[in-house]
Amino acid sequence: MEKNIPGLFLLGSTHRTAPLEVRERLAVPPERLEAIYALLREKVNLPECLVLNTCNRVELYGVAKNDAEAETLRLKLLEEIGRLHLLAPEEMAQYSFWKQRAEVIEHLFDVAAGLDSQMVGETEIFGQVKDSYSDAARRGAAGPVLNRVFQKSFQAAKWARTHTAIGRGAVSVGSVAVELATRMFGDLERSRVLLIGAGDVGQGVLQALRSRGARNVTIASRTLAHAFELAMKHECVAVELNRVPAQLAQSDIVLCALTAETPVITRAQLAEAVAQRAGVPLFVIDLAVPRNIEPAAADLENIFLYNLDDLAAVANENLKNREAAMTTARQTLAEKAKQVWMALTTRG
Amino acid sequence: MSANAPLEFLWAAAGLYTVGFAFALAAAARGREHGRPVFYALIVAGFLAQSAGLYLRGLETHSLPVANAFELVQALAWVAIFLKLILRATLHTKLLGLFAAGLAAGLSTASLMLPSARSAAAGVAASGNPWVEFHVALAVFSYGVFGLLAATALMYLLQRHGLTRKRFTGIFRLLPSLAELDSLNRQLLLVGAWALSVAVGLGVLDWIEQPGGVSVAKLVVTIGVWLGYVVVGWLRWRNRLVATHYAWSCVGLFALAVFSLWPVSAGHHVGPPANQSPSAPPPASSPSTNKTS
Repeated sequence: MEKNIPGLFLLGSTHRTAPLEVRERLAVPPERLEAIYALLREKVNLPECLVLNTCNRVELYGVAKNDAEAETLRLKLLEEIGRLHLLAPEEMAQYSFWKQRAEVIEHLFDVAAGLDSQMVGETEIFGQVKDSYSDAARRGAAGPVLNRVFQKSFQAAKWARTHTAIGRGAVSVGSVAVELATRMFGDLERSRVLLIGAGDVGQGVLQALRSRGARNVTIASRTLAHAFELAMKHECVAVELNRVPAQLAQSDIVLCALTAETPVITRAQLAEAVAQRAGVPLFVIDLAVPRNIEPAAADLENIFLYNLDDLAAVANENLKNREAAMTTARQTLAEKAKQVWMALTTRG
Repeated sequence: MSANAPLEFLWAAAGLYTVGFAFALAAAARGREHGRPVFYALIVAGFLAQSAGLYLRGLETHSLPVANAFELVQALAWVAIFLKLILRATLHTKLLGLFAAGLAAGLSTASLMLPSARSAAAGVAASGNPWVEFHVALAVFSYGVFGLLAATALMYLLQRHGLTRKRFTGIFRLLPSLAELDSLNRQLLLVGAWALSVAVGLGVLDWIEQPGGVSVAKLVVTIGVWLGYVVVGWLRWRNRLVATHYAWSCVGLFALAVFSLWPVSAGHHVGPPANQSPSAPPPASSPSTNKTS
């Protein structure tokens, strides 16, 4: 029994509806946020509104006086927002989507849970939704309807993350390397990392390890100046390439990303290093193509040798698992969204 | 209460441990952590049932229920779960509950299959010497610690297997890190070896005092197990036995320790039979002293 239907609506543009060039134009820098809120509240006369702005989406959540009025607002919003971003209303319509009633809640639940993200299950979006809500609340733009809907979206996102596999498993080479290193050493703060080569791939993995606490890093490169430059950037130590064999035994994680036609680390060198490590495993990641490490080293006791294909295979498998979990998560979140909508419409 | 009440409690405990283990394993196989309230409710219920079973078994003879292999294995499973439950606040190792439940389920079910499970409680009567009672308690405690050590060593081997074979799903992604497990293995071995050393020391002192009280077979087997753990601990400390070799040694030694319970229990001189008052004098054919380990 619907007594007083709130005029809940959503106008949005995301990576699913607009190419990067359009999203760049629609992006709302912090200094322009005030103007958007002023437009929505004063010009469009919305009692409640909220702007969610991330690198992949700009979404305007609003509550009109009633459901019938919300229907009429779409064109007006396309015109007004388009004018702000120098886009014609037709272009705005082409690259945006419009939702009303329970569909808005369902969409928000998917967004907060990371189901609508480019990288399914990513967690950053949850913080961004929370920040946008806090910002709207601080401005006094979020009222009873949006408060309830957004609070429920946080609960829904937490449910999805806890009860489904949407956020499980690393899905990038760097995060897979971190996951593996954590399975070997636990806390990475005391792990010593040796990066051989100064390419982007190696640096990406190093960055991922550092973000999880790895601080003791040594960088070796053919050009010492280059190694020093990187060492300054990552606040670590630089050594010459010929010092690598001596560094192996002291390292827990070795990242190899050197452009070389033949292996730069031999099985014998690794065998000698591992013999000095008293049973502590040595995690060796060969990110180079052609490979930097003799593949036969994989047979050594206490050496865990992974190459780029191994890491990519893990990332792909995890991504597949996440996508498989999406259907279940979506179905349940849709049910939860319906319940929230029913509560909103029956309680008024 | 029926005469079968102790066994019924012990069967119930084995069942509850098995259900708890299966519940946690099913979740782990899907790469999920098990629901703690349900899991711990099952394990605590199993522990209480086992405690009741062992208590009633002890009441039959007014003595410690560690007289035969069945009772010893039951006590060992009881200690392993007890340790896991009391150390829960400090031991946050993921999946240890699952493996401890598996260990307890396996040991208690296997012990109930033993012929000695169906025999009347024999009992090990109080010796009157508190050091001997302490020796028994410490020995059972140390075996329980070694049981947990075998469980964590198995976890270590599984984690290594997963990393070597590049397995990332299911239980492999939930297992603790190699470093954490290796550290835990060392600590458990240290605690167990110390406890067993003291227990063996007390046993030897008592044997010197009353050489006829304990069979030579029991003495040799017990000292053999103790020596095994001490040597493994020393080799680990010297970094001569590490990684998989160390983990397999811990698993193997525990298997040996469990099997050694047969000669150990055979070396007991049991207390008064169930139908005889514990205060009555022992039969003429039985030695007057009653000891165990």
